[in-house]
Amino acid sequence: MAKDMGIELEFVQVPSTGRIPALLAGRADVTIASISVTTDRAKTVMYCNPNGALQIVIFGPKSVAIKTPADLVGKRIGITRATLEEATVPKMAPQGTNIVWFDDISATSQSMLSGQVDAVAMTSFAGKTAADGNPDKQIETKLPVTTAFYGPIVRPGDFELRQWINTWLFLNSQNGTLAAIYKKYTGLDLPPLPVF
Amino acid sequence: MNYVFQFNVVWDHLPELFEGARLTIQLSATAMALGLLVAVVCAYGKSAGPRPVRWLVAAYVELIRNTPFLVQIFIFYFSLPVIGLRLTANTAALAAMTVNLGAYASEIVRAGIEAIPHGQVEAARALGLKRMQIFRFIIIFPALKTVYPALASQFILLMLRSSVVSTISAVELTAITNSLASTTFRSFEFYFIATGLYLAMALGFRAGLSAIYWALFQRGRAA
Repeated sequence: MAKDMGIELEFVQVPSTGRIPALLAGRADVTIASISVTTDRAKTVMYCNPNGALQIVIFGPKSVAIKTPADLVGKRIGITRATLEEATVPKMAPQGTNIVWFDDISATSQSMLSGQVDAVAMTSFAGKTAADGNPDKQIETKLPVTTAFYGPIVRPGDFELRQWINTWLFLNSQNGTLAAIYKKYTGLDLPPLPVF
Repeated sequence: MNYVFQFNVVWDHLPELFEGARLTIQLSATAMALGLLVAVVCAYGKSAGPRPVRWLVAAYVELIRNTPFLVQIFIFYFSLPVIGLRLTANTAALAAMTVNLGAYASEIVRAGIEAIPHGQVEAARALGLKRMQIFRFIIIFPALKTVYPALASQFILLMLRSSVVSTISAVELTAITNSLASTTFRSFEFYFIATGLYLAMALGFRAGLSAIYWALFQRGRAA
């Protein structure tokens, strides 16, 4: 995208909690991590069209029995702050679920692997990485929570930048570049992307 | 930057922030008391104990003072379950804070103990004071008085360092602030208020520690 825009790309790496603050503070001009579209976030930042989709899933070791949302009662479920999990899991989990918050995904994964929580909610990508990296823990998917589309965000009022990014997204979904990038990093086929 | 500050959302969440601050105070105050105990025992062991005890204390102090606090917290929370010791987030945080403070404070207390003139201890022995009496009245009490300002600074640093324990899901002030900032997206406002609360707590602890100093060492004595 930067190449097409003819500018030099500078990465500003931030933890998930710092994505919106870094954008608003002017430390970055676009946040293009997997930042799923929510109405709450849209009150503070402006979304471009979606460039991908992700699934939030509850993962846990084989020994933990979770088949329906009701099974979450009395269990300790780890989630990461400032993620889609934080916005969706507390709504779907019945009363009596013990939700435990961590600051970043690696701490959340670690809490499951060390048995500090019974299960965790995270994206299917992150959960697959944790499961593949620790085959002895027998991590498996328990429950789908939600599927969400994510898109780049810009500061409120940056309409011209947003319009340019949308144009870029349009062209690159037509020519298959987006689908190829998605396949390369997730191993999955890119679902059809809706537009605003 | 066209950012409009909106503090009204912060006022709605003040009770939660105070609850977080309460846990920060509780964790810090408990860790200060336990850490000081660890420090006194270690400092005495290092200055008067047999050689193996001295080595053990030296190893503990060097290990803790030369590794990051964050790593120490992770070990207490994520690694101890491997050997079957599963601590809750708050207990793991308290344990890590105590162990951390104990190492730093033991060196401070040791400096105080070594500043006691040897003649003072010999005089006490000549007067027939028992071993525990000598330790209590002749060594540790004057030693603590000497190093009190340095200890108090270390205590305040510990309280500020406690903000890191939010990473292992302990819900102290920083954890609450992070949660509120990420759900309301008013991060600047919440971090401003958290900064104010930390400042207030640090000043409060400082005042409290000064009061303890006065009560222990100055009350009823001529200036």
